[in-house]
Amino acid sequence: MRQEVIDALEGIVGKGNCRVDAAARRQHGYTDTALPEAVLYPGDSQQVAALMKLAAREGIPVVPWGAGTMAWHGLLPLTGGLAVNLTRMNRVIEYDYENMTAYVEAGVSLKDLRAALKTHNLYWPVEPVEADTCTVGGCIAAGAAGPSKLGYGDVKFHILGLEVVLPGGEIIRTGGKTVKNVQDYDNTRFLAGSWGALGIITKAMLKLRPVPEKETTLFLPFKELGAAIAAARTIRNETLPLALELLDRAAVATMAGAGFDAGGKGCGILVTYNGFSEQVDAQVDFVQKQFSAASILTGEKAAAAWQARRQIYPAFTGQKGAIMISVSLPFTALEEFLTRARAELDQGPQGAAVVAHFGNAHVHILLDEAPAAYAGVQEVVNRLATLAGNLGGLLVVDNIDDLTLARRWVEARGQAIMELLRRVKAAFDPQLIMAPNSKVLAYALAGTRAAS
Amino acid sequence: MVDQTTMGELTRIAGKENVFTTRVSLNTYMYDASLVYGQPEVIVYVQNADQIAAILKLASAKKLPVTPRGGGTCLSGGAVPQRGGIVIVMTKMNRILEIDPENRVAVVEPGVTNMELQKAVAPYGLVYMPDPASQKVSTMGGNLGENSGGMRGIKYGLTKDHIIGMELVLSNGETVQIGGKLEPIAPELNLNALIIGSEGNLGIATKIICKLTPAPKANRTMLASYNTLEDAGTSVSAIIAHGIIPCTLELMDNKIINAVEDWLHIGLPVDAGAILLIEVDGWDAGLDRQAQQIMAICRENGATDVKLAQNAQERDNLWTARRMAIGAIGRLAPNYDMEDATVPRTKLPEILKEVGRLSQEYNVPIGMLAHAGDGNLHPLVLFDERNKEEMERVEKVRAALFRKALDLGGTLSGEHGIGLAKLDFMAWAFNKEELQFLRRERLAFDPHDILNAGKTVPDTAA
Repeated sequence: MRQEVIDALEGIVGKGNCRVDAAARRQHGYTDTALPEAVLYPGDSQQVAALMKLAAREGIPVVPWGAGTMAWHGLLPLTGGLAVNLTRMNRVIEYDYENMTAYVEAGVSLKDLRAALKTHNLYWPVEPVEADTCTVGGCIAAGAAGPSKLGYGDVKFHILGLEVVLPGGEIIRTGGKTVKNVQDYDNTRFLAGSWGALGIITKAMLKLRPVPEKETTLFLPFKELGAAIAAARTIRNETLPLALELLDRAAVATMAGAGFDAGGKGCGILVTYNGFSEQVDAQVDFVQKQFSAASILTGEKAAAAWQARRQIYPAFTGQKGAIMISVSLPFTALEEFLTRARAELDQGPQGAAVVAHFGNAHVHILLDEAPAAYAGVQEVVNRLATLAGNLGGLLVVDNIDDLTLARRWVEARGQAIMELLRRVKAAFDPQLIMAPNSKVLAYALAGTRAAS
Repeated sequence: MVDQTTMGELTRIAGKENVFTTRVSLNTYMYDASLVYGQPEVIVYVQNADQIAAILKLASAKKLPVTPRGGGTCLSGGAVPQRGGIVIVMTKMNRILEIDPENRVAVVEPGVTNMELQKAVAPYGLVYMPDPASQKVSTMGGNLGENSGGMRGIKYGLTKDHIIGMELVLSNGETVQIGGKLEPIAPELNLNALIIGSEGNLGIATKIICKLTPAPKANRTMLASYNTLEDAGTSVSAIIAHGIIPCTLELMDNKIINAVEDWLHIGLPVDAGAILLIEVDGWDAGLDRQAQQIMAICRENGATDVKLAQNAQERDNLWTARRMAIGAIGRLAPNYDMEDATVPRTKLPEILKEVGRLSQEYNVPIGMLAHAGDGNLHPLVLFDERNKEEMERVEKVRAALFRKALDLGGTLSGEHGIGLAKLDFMAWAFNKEELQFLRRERLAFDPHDILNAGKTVPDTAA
């Protein structure tokens, strides 16, 4: 990047907020070598707009950053370009507790947000892996969710409007402050999960919920996976849990190392109910009557169990890293998939843990192999992918840079889909500077300037 | 202009018996439930996706306007062919293709009515949650296009919360699959978000995948009476501030109460300035306490009387009152205009007061309904369309209402859409760059600008 461009960027964001040093670049990098050329820390939306205009004029790729927690999940390695770190934009602009909304800057951390909301007993039900450091903007861009996705849905269900800076430098508002609002196309939800590919989210109107009167978590131990699956099915069908997780033996063991020791050696179910006391009591009572081994996690134990659940991936991977596989299935195919996949994994040399957001029919398989060594396990992954496909499901590998399976899935949506995606991208980003490494569009842009 | 060659093509595509050009047919499709009109040149009843694709290919090549139409109950002109051209009527595509109870999904064709779907899934103990008041007539395709809301919106959300996928024919006649039955895990953009509520601008859905929800096990229904609309509005915020989210929180003013009571004779409190119809649902356990709490809150906030429906008959009466309200208003004046400006909930008392003031200032009777829990007003402005001078006053009331809603942090439309009826006000809600962006987005889907064009986003924005 030319020095005069760096100088101009520094002129926009101020001295000290345009960094080209190795530490800052590494912090916003993907690998040891795939690093941005400069990291910018804008202080407001106008600065974001100004730097976007400059980047568009110069044809420099721009990738927005929050805490960077999820970058490995949604972005391919990219060398060069600008990382735009939004964590200086961290104000809660308006907390309208009476209307249960908060208007915040994108860089506010979930921890600071929680603290601000606590004064009026409301919360924002998005609890990703790093429930403290993650930024609101990052959660929205990443389409984040926590265990309560079953009851409340992912982040797109918890935002009402956005302020977005388009690559042309326009600052646009989407949605608004009311739940019912059809005055524009729903770009608010469209941008949720867009991984920076369309624009930079600078502000968000959050839809908040009252902290429920009661919340109860139960753990159900099982010796055999089959029994756990059958129980989870009953629980999903007969009660309306907020969260319902199925954990195989390896997952339960991993959680023991992450702060929740279930005491046994089998698999388990973690289920949470919330709401009014009588209703929660009735739901819990149902589960305890059906499954005598179910125990209520009291005091700090419930939070510890969920924290351990969120930490399964880092706890399982250790230093080497692990391959993370996601499978989405028809609910009714879960039993067959889980049973056969576990048997398949037991045949192989790699350790593997299986956890399912059971109510969402979304399975995670952690494979004890470094992502760089993906080629070595490709055969078993392909067999699992075929199994999922035959059951009407889809398998993708989350943390490798190979988009073959995803591309195939999207191509099957129709011949016209890639062309449509390119036109939509151009409506936001005619210069194609926004996050060309964003997995959600990289396969559609292949061959265009953005991907090169 | 639809010429003879095009007419021949349309006949070949859909069959002679499905193509109509008589004056009576064309006049029949000039309108929807809004106040805007426009005459089409040809009506085509389609029976499958291939026919739609072929028609759109043809229309794209010849740059002919196309207006998709379901039940025609749109309240903003979404189904009005104001540019002439072809109206594609979807009501013959009315099959429920699949109900998969344990996976809690249904797949329907766009011409299936909301009520037909409700009835089909009820035996499985499931509900398709969005329940627009027009549900007996309005189609799922129309619901998708408009992101229809309904009475249960406050707790269970809107159409966009319950449609998870679709088969979509783009304006160039190409077909794509959007979303699907599965939890989305692939790295891809969520196009569902843009299509749902796009007012038929971005494509025509030919199959719709709906999420079904287990029917709530129990409910309690209450009626609270007030002297003033403002008291009722204040109660709404107070209930929700107590952490209770009812599934229904509907407001009716004295005019509506009396119109309904005169017609149905179900014992509504005709002297009340306003009533709130409130329902909580979910597990039976705990509902009694919630109901007691709500009734106490209503009393604290000025309710003169609060009743709990004691049996199914009493509950049905209350619901009938709400569902029939708009029909009842038809007895009071030759025409009505129902707007759906929406404000943050706590601003309800203020905007309710403003509507009363406008009614007086412009000497136009206004009946007030509201999905109060969502801050979603439904003021029914009553008039006679043939009276030009009165129409001018009605227009002034509308404009003043939109101005106030926006000033209070609200929106032009909560659930009926912009269509043609509110197009002129878009410049109040959005700045030039925002409108230009929306226009670009529209053209990304419909480069020839033929599909329900000239609606939702002003053409002049580009």
